[in-house]
Amino acid sequence: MISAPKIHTDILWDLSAFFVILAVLYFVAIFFFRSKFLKKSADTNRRKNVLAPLVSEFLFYQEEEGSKEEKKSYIQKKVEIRELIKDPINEMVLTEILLDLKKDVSGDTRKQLFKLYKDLNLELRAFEKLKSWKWQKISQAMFELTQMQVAESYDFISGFINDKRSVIRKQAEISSVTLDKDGLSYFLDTTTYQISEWQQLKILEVLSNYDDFEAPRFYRWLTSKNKHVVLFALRLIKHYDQNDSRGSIVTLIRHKNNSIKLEAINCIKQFYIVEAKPTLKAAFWRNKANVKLAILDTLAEFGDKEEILFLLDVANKESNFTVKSKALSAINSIQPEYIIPTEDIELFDEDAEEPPLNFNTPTELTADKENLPEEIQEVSEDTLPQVDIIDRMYAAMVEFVPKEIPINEQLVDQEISGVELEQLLQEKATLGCIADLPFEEEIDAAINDTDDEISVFSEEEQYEVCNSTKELSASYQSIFKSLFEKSDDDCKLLLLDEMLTLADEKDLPFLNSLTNYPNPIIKDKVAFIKKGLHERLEKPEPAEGIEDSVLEVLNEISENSYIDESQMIDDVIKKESICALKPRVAKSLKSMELCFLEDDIGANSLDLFDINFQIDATTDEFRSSVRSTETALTTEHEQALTKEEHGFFQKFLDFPTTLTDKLNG
Amino acid sequence: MDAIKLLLADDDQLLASLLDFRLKKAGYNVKVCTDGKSVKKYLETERPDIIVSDIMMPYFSGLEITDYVRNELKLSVPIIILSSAGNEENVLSAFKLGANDFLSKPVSPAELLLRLQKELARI
Repeated sequence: MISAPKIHTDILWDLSAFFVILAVLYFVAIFFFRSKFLKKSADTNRRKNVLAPLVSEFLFYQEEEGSKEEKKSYIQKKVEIRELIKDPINEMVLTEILLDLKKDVSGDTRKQLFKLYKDLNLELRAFEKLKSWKWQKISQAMFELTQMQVAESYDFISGFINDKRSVIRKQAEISSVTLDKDGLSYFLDTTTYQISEWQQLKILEVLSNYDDFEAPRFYRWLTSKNKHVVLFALRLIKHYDQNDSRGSIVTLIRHKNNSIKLEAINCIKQFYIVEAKPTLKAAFWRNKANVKLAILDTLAEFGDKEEILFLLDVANKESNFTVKSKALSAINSIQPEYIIPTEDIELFDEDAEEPPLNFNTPTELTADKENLPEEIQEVSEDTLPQVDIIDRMYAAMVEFVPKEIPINEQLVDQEISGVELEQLLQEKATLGCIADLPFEEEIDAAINDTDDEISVFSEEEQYEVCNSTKELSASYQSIFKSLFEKSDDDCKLLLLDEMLTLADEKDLPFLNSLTNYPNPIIKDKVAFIKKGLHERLEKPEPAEGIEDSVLEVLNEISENSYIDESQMIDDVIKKESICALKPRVAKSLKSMELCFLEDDIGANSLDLFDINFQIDATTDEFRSSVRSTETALTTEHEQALTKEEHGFFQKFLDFPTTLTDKLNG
Repeated sequence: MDAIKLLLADDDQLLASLLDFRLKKAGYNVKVCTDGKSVKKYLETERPDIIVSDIMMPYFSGLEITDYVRNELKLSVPIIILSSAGNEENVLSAFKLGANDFLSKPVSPAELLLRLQKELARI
C-alpha cells in the first residue's frame, strides 16, 4: 500500500504566503517602473512641446527681415532657452530635437540647425562627455559631434581610434572619416585593430556621401603591417579604380591571408592585369578551393590559348569537383566549345547517318580505311577526333606555315602523262561535256590499268629527276614532322592517315625515323603507311584543281567570243594555280583538262593542243627547261610548300567544319 | 482675401510642427494631422486648398488618402506627397492614384514652399 508523505500544513501555508508576496512585489515593481517611464516620457514630450516651437523660431528667424519687435522677441527667447538648457534634462531633450530634425530637414534649415547647436554651446557639453569614463557617454558624445558636424572635435575624436573598447573605437573611426577628408588616411595609418566588414561598409558609405572627395592613392597602405588595412586598401583600390599598383597587387597573390589573396585576385580580374597570369598559375596549387576558383575565374576572364594546357592539367589533376568543373568552364570561356559534352552521350553508328560527302571534302581525301589493318581501323574509328585535337593540329599548322609562301613553279601541273592525255581524250569522246570531266580518282584508276611506258619522261630521265629529289630529301624536313611532334597519339594516327594520301618521297626519311616508335599502335600504323606510300609513289599523279576554272572560262568565252581564247585560258591558268607560274613555264605546261576544254570549245585551231603535243614531241627541249628551272629553284624548294602541302593545309582548314557538320548530323 | 487652407499630414510631430511654423509664417492656414484617421475626419467637414501628406502614417497611408480624395471625394485639390528617399515605388503609385507632386525627405522647407506656390498657381 502506497502512502502519501506527511507534510506539515504550516509549511504549506508559509510557502503560499511567500509566493503571494513575490507575485505582489513583481506586479508592484512593474507598475512602478511603468509609471516612472511613462512619466518620464510624458515629461520629455512636454519639454519637447515647449522647446520645439522655440527651435523652429530660431531656425526660421531672419535677422534682416525681422521688425524691431520680432528682434526683441527673438532675444528674449534666446535668453529663455539658455535658462531652460541649464537643466540637464532640457539640454538632453533639446539635443534630441536637434538630432531628430537634422534627419528630417535639408538645405539652409540644416545649416541653421548646426549653427543653433553651436550658439547654444551644446558642443561644449559634448566635449565634457568625451572625458567621461563611461563608454556609452563617450560614444554618444562622438556621435553627437559628428552629426552636428563640429569639425573642431576631429582632433579629440581621432585620439580614440586605437581605444581598447570596440564601441568607442568604431565610433571614432566613423567620426574621424566623417569630420575630415584626411581622416581616412589618418585612420589607415594609425589603426592597429581589426576593421570589420560592417565597419568597412560604413566607412565606404561615409565616403560616398562626400560631394568632392578626392580619394588618396590607396596603394600606400598595401605595405601596412596591419593585414586588415591591406585588405581594406585593396577593396578601396578596386572601388576607386586605382590602377596604379599592379606590381603590389600581383605580389599580394602570395600573401598568407586568404581574404587578401582573394581581394588581390579580384583586383587583377577587374584591372585586367594580364602580367599576373604566370603568378596566378604558379600560386594555384598551393591554395584552397575558394582561391583556386577565383584564379580560374580570372584566367577565364582574360586567359588565352596558352592557358588551356594549364586548365586541362587542372581538370585532370584536381580532386575537388567544383574546381574541376570551373577549370573546364574556364577552358570553354577562353575557347568556346573546346570541351564538348561527353557524359551520358549516346553513341550511334555514324556511318548509317552520315550525309553524302561533297566533292573535295577533306574526308574524301583521307586514306582509304578499308585498306587499313583491322586494329588500326579500330583505333582510327573508335577514337573520335575531338575539336581540341583538330585545334592543336591547326595551331601547329599555322605556326609551321611561313607568312610569305615562296612560289614553286616546278611543282605545278607538270606531271601530265601521255596516259592521262589519252584517257581524257577518250572520256571527251564518250561524254562530250565539260562538267563531266573525269576526276582525279578516276584518272588514277585508269592509269593503273595502262602501261607505264607512255610517259612524258624516259626511264633514265625519271631516274635523274628522282635522284635530284632524293638529294633534296636529305636536307628537307618533312612538314609532318612538326605536326607529329606537337600532337597527341590520336592526332598522330590521324596525321599518319593523311600521310598515306599526301606524303611523298621527301617524307620517307621521317617515316623511317618512326619505325621504332614506342607506341605499338603508331608503330604498326607507320609500317603500314610506309608500305602504302611506297606503293602509291610508284604511280604518277594527275593535275588537279582546274575544274572550277573550266566553267569560268566557258562562261567568259560564251560572253566574249571575240577574245583570243588561248590567251584568256592562259590567264585563267595563272590565276587558278596555287603558285603563280612564270610566263615561260606556264606557256609550256598546260594541264590535260585544259587541253580537253580547249578542244571542246573549238579552240583546236589554236596552238594549245600543239603545245601539249610539243611536250611529248619535243621532250629534249622540255626536259632541259625543266632541269634548268629545277636547278634554279632547288634552294627555294627547301622553304617552299608543295602543292600537296598546300592541299593538306587547306584540308585542315576545312576539316573542323566538316567534322562539326558530321557530328551535328 | 482668405488664407490658403493647407492640410499637413505627417506622423512625425517634430517635423510637422517645424513645417507648421514655417508655413504659417508664409501665410498659410495650416491644419496638422498626425494620422490617416484624423485626415479623413477633417476631410469630411473641410475642403483644404492643398494637401501635403507623408506616405507612412498610422491607420491610413498617404496613398490611401490620395485614393480617398480622388476616387471617393472626387476632389481635384493638389496633393504633394512627402516620401523617404529610396521609396520610388510608393511615389509612382501615388502619381498613378492622382498625386500632383512629391518631395523626398529630408525636406527643405524652402523647396516645399516653392512647390506649393507652383501647384497653387496651376489652379
